[in-house]
Amino acid sequence: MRSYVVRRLLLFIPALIGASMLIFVLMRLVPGDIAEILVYQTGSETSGVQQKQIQQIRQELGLNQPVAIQYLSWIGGAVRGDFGKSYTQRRPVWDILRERFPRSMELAILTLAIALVWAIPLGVISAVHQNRPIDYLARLASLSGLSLPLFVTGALILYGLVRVFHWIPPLEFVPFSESPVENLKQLIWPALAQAYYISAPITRLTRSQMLEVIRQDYVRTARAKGLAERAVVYRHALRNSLLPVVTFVGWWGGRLLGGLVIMEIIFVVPGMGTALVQAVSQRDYPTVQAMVFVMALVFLVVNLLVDLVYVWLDPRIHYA
Amino acid sequence: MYGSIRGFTMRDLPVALGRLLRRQPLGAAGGLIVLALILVALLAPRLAPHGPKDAAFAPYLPPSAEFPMGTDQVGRDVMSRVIWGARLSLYVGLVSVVFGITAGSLWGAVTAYLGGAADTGSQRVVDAVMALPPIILALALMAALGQSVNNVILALVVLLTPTAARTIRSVALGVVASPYMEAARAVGASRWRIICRHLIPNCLAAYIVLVTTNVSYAIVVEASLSFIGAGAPPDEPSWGGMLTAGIQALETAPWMVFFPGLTISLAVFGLNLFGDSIRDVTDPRLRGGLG
Amino acid sequence: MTTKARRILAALALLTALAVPGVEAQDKPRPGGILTWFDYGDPGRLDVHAESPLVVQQATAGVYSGVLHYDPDDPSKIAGDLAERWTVSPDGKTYTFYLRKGVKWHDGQPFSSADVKASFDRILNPEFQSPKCGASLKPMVAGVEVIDANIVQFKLKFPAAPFLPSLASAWCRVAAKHILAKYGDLNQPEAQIGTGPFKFKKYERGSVIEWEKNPNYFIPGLPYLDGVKQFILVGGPTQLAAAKASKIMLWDAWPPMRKTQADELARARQDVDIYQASINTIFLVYLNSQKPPFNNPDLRRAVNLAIDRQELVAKALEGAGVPCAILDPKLSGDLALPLDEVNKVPGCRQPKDGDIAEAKKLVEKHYPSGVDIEVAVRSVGNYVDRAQLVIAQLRKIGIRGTLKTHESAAGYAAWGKGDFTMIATQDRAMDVNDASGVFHIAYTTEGGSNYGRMADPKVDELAERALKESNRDKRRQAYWELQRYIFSRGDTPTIAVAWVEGWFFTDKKLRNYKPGLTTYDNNTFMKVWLSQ
Repeated sequence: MRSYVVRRLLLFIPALIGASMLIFVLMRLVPGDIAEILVYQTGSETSGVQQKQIQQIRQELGLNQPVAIQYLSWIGGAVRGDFGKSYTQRRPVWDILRERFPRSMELAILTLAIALVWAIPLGVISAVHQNRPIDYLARLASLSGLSLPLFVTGALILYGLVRVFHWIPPLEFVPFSESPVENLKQLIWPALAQAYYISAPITRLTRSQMLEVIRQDYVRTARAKGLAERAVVYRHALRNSLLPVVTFVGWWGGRLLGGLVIMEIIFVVPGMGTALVQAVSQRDYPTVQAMVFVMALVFLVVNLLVDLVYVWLDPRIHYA
Repeated sequence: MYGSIRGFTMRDLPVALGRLLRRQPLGAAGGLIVLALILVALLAPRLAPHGPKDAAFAPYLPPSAEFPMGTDQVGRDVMSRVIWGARLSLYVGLVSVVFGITAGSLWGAVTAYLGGAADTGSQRVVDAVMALPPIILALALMAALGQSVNNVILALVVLLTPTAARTIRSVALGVVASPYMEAARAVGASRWRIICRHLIPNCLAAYIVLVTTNVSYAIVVEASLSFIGAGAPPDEPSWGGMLTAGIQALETAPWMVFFPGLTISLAVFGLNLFGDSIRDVTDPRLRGGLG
Repeated sequence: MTTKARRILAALALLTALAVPGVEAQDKPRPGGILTWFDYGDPGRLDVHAESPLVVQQATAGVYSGVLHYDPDDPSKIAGDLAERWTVSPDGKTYTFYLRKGVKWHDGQPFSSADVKASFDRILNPEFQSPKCGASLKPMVAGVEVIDANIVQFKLKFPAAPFLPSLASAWCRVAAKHILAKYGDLNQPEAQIGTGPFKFKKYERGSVIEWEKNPNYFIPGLPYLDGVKQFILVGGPTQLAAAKASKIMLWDAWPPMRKTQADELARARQDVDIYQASINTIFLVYLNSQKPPFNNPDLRRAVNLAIDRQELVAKALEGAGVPCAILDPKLSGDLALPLDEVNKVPGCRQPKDGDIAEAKKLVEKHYPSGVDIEVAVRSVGNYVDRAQLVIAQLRKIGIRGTLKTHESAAGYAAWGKGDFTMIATQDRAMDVNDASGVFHIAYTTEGGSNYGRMADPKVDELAERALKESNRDKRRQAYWELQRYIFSRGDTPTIAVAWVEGWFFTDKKLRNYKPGLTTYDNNTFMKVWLSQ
């Protein structure tokens, strides 16, 4: 077991480096850099001065060096926790991360909690009463969440709140530590919308996994033994069907930090998603690098934990 | 998970279809919707009364006999755009999924079969790509490639390939490690025969499921990309683009959100129901125990 | 009281109310209350000397004072802010400003002319990038001198009419010498120490910016408000929802409301005033004069003739705009050519049949079967919708355009590098409300937004002459000559389509708020108050 953990951790690192390299190169393939944006977007300076200024800015920020050198100096700093300074905010990216990470994390956890509380029981019920009306209803209900693109659901919720209650969620972000009520008043809406969206695949997976396990021999044996139906379902079937669901939830959950960007925009939550989208469009390389790094890290860590839980829960599984 | 090896071959197809209709009414309904979608997409030039980009009419006209779905903010007929949108969404969805899932599946299956360094190396690449948040990856790709429908497809292919690679790889690993495969090898079956008669058919089920479930995913992701400005150019009749423009005028012109929203929901619904049923039917383990 | 007596009393009251004009205006300003509005994006950096986006100026406006400003009671007039009065030397090259005494910075330090010199030395430093204040002052100003603690002098290179309007701009604010020395720049929230009516209270990035009343403001009794809150709201649906839910009291920001949004707001709230106003922004089309087909003046003339500016205003701007004008009379007064003359110019005159026919012939002369071009546009706002209208118009004369959309920043990079054939639409907001702005930005050879690479020495010369002319009448003649020359050329790579206007609203509770003549001016709210 321990060697498995060590091995997995070692595999972790190349993935993280690979991801950071990928986004590093990709950002530099995107046309326009911060120097051009700063200078061309204003368009007030004369064209002669513009070229000079662009070169000056590039020199300052080290953008003239070969990409490999730039990457090496970035990764050298990153492992020490020094992500450099944001080109657009001129302050350490670490400060930006420190501000934004807890907010997105909170939203992600809230979203997952709601999704699981709603989706897993629904999937179980669906499986236990397969092909009966309640199954169809449950499947339709969960599918409808997936059908509309998230931003439409979000916009409709916002519009509905204004139209019906003449009320919108708080526009100012209040941290949970300051005022849980205000904080939740703002975050509950994007969490609900996003949870509704991701609950569909969770429900379906739970259902199909339960269905598969319900037919296994040992469940039949348990039934034959005369244990109460409930015990059969919940103790044996659920525990084993949970494994792929855990993997799936871990996979989706790990991606929530980035996936929440649309909800963050519509409901004015100043989280990592909005900062990242803004950074990409403003070519703020250090912020993009750092945020993607953190998101990739979270994703890989969550998946690692999930895999460990998997192995722990079902010792039959061996990984080649 | 994919432990058993009772392969699903082509001869089982008509039987499976029959089962589908009888046992899976939802799936059949889904299938009908998908069929309707395909028909609309194919017949778009005939069905649509106007061109999708003709801004010839008055803007924000409510639904009427002349414009059953109203007009949008530039004065284009919404119904024509919704119809052409079916073609565009299906094009984007199908092409990106077919290319992405196929490429990923081949990659996953081959590296699983080859094993060793090739497998480990490619898995790290897959991990690296999958660790990146998909929306951001798509945003950066679109910014780098430029806004066009084909670039959206390219971005979606990049998003879908790693998922397929990982799934099919685990299926293939299961096949490769199974006692049945060992028996085939012991008997002296050729590498090619093993691949064709065992590896591919078993992966096929998973492949079909991946394809059917991801078409709707691709359509919805494309719509979300439009919202953050990384989708197809806004003048193209993409449902996502229509919705993005529509939410700016929700109260003034709700038809701009209602009709594209309805069609995209229906499309996703139908594709998912259909895909679910395909999975229920092709999954060899469930074949014996339906009902 | 008897019914009759009551009726008489009521009638008397009504008569009194009707007889006294502007009863509302005579309400006494009431102190207190917090004004709420919004910023369309997160500023990120706060250095008003070094930055150019509106969000930065908006975030810091009330914190600082300028030497001059636009009078909050009448935004078309320039008034002294930190300066009580000023004199001009007879040769028009030296401006002496007599500054107020006893002004204190928000941290309690005393203000003096040394602060003015420090601020403008910084802005005017050739090595310092100041795209707004610096770009407008550097060509005109030779240096700033301190005469004594309360007198400062600006020495100009030549007598320049735009000097005072530029100095009064919201971008040319005075920062503290000791703050600049301590922090090096003005980017941080801690460095937001000014002499303005409000103190910088809080900056919650991505969320809100707050100001609070400066109790020691140099005009006693001001400001009336206790504070100002700007929410950072990105995206139309969220901004409109906030307006409808009464979370914001005014919309004086970029982007302006569209007509549909204004209508929806009117339906949702009865306690607002909705009005249409100019945003001192010009809608331009650019043709790349260094590449085919638009290196050919005939083709450029054809496009100029064919573009239906009135249709673009009606459809793309929903009727809120002034078509064809290179200078808008509402903004530039008599420096602008009269609109009835402008509307008769080829390309502007309606009906367009004659112009379209002529344009078609010009195209056919060089491209008998028409020509295919790429029409580029940045994918922001409703630019793409505008581009489509332009493409449809050009199709009538045999120019077949395919739309190429650019992501916002990538678009600017492409424009700067000349990586386009035609830019279907690009708006440009004026920094200073002065007639010289549009020419030096988009029409002169060295213009920073002269993307089409226009190079006409006559335009350069006329623009320079008008810039340096101090005599008002001669200035008007120069600008009229310049506008007429551009119209007569008819083949300029920069095409003025319209001056853009938009819809805005104010809460009825908001009093004495007068929008400035540019999007940047008059958002300090120093004399604004909230009733009831």
